[in-house]
Amino acid sequence: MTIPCEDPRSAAEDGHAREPSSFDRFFRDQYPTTVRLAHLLTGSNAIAEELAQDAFAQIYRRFDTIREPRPYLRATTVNVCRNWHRRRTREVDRFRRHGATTTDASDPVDELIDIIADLSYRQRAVVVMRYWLDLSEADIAQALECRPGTVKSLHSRALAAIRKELP
Amino acid sequence: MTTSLEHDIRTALARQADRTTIDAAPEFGERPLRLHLDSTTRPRHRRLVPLMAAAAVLVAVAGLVVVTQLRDETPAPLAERPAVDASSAAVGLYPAGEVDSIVAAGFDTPQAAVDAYLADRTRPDVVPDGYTVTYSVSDLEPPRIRDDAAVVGFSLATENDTGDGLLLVRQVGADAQPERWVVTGGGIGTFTIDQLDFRDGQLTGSFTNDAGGQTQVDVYDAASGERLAQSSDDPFTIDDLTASAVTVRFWNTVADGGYPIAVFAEAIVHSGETVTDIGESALHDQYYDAIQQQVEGTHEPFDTGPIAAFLPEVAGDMVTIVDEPGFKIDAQVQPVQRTGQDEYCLAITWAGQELPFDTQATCFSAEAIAMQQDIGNGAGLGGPVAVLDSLDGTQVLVVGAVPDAVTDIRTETGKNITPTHNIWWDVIDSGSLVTYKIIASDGRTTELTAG
Repeated sequence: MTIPCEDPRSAAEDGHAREPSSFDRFFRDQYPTTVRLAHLLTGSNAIAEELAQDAFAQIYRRFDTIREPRPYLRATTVNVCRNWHRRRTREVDRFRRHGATTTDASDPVDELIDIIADLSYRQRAVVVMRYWLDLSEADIAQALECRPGTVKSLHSRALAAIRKELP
Repeated sequence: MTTSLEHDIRTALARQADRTTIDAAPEFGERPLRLHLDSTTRPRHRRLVPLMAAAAVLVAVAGLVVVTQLRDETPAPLAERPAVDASSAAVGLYPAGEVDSIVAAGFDTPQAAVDAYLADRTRPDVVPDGYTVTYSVSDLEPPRIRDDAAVVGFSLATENDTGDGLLLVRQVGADAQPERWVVTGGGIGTFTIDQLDFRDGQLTGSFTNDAGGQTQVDVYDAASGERLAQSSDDPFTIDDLTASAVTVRFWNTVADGGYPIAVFAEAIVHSGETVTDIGESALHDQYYDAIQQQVEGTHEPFDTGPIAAFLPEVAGDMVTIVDEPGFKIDAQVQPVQRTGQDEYCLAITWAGQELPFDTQATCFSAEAIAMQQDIGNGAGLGGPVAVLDSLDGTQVLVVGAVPDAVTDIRTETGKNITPTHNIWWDVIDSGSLVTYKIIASDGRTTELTAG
């Protein structure tokens, strides 16, 4: 698949309206889902938008060579969120202090969200991709760049950890 | 089977996703994305500075680990390991040594062996410099994957992260009383030893590390515990090893402190052996199957015994077994050839009206219950339950047939249901899920979710 890939800056700078490119359409179609995925993976709405755009920026540079852009975007989003988790290093709760979505601890659903947020990043990623994106083990493994057996392990251990924390 | 928990997770994630505020999706090329593109396409030299700084930190941290390892020239003692004869055959990672010494001074449960093993491997003097590692052992009864082998779950935690893994333990000295167990391999889920080959004194190996960072490989004499060599290459080759078996220990650290901060795996390989796919991933399928069998084992009290209480004596007879205001259940025995057994079909009256008699929905066989197979249109519910639409379309009835041993059923909301003539039922909102705890007369329990 060959996809024309125009320089986004030129479109804005020359001031002329253009027909949306394939990437423009892809961006518009996938942006909301990507932000939501990043939100679920980071716990922060504001950071999610930033990371989603980071992911698109990475996709943009090689969009015309990518055969299946959606799985690629998904894997890229999971990866940039993982890098964000790495950067925050020892400040485990930092994302909650910086723009995390407010949850109501007395609400059982919010309590569950908090428990999921406390999972290790990979466990959380598996839970989000399994239960929000409804992805198969194989697709999750592709996004996480690991083996399906590892996904299975992460999944079962995530559920066990959630069960343990539930009142 | 979708459990109540999985349903709750879906609901919670969907709600959280709906909370995401998204400005009208920006056109590609408008300011927010453009800023990102500007920053990611900035001149190379401007990006090299932070990259070089990061590389310097990485080298410094990796160097610290290496220096620490080199500084410690004395072989790390294996804590409280049994006395071993270095000339005899080593059988595992811990306790080190051959069968007799392990039987003489070993551990009588898989968990005890794992606990001692992890205590030894997480000692401050053997973990990477600058890291404090704690561990926990799963309190789940170790599922046996063979008569003499079991898998134990564990977790390692550092200051800012945790990782889960599996360890294979093997029973040694078949007639030993008490039993004796030895840890033979495994590790954290994000690290897999792909291959170890040990022959003619040369050890070669490769691994898959999902976490990135730096991996230190330490090679020990499996019998004596003496450290023989180390490497940080992948794949790696180590020559001139004189041991008849070596244990190969991996510590992976992520220099920037990200997830997971410390990953651990270890395996034993004997001279002349090639072993592949070692680690948590290799164990997981067996572990998963064993866990499933273990879980199914909790159904045992309900697998046995006939369903005697409402068994009519003559096939085709209709017998009223529940007759309460607004709720009436008749049972009818219907021979069904496909199962080779009689099925008990229930005719249900709800709010004074007869529900459509649907054999798919309301027929149970003792065999089906014993096998814990899906019954009627209760398929996927994991138990002897049928769900019927009520006449007003707003509620469903949950009706189950249970073996004689079941005396009590409790809902997650605390409601107690006592089976009547082996039949229990509940009224729940249409579309909702309820988890029921089924309790046998001997105190054993199991759960099922219906709705």
